[in-house]
Amino acid sequence: MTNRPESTGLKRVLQVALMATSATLAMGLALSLFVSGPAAPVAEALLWLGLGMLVTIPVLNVIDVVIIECRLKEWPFAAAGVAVLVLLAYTVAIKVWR
Amino acid sequence: MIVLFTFLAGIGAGSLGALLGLGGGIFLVPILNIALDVPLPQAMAVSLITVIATSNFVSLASAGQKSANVRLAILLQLVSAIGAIGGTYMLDYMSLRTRERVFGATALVVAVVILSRLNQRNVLQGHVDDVGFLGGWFQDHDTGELVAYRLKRVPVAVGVAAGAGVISTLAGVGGGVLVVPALNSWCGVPMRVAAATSAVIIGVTAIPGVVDNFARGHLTSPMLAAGGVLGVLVGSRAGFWIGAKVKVRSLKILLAVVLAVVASQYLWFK
Repeated sequence: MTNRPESTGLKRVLQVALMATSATLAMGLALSLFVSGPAAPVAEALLWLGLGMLVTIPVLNVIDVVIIECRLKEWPFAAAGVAVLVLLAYTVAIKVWR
Repeated sequence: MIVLFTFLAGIGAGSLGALLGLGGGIFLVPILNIALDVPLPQAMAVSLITVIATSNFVSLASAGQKSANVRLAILLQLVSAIGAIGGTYMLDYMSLRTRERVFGATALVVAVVILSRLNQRNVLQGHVDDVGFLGGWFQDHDTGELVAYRLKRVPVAVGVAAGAGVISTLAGVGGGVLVVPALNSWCGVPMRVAAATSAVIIGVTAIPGVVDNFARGHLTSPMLAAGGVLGVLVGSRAGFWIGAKVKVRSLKILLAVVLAVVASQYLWFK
């Protein structure tokens, strides 16, 4: 069976993180649209922070799957999850840091 | 003003995306590019960010968690991520027009395949204990019962996921546009499971494209991206609510029509 009830509790954290992401983006957008002057860099920082959080959530979702599969000793699926994480890390390293 | 329009476009794209498990990027790119005159590379960058937003919303919602086949998703994420990374290198050598034509033709073929198999439900009748490799059970909204399904033609699913990864990066869309119909029509996965599983996959698939766009300087307006993301998050909630009340057959017809419209956009109207 593949639709499993197991959970690490990380899912709940990710749901909260998604709400926090929305709040951060909404705050950054509101500041950008309605506030000028010294607050402008803060607004832009909030927007980039929100976008960064958004991109991080799928990665944490994969980590959640890896933890569950390790607990179940389903090593092929755990390895697939780790491979996904390695590929994403490779992309960031090659494209951004190079 | 453009941020407000992007927000509204995000609502539309997010609701359709959540409804169909597509990510919504296929709707957002033409709206941003044609209607709002955003340069295509920037429109694709914003679209890929919103694809991640849709994926997050659907995969973390309780209905999405119940329907998604997590193990199938993780295996297909692996190949689609490889495809997406390959796509970032192909971007250096392919013209934009070639990419649009390839995508348009693919979307058209898939729309025809779906329409030709409208009545296929892909569920096993009676009590089933063995669902085979990567099969599963899910709550069927049409009957209210727990039904089983078996995964067929795994190599097809793997090949399509890899192709979806490439298309995701090249066209700035989620890749669900290929994964959902392929899982449903060729691999024996019920529509609702295919859509939820695809939603889990596309979030990871979009990341290489987003990182590449950021590195190339195409993700220059965080305000535009934020407007799109917030719109998509609102729209995803609406799409999920609607999705629970729509019959599978209607969902398939809607998906085919959407694909045909998208195909015509890429083939003839750009």
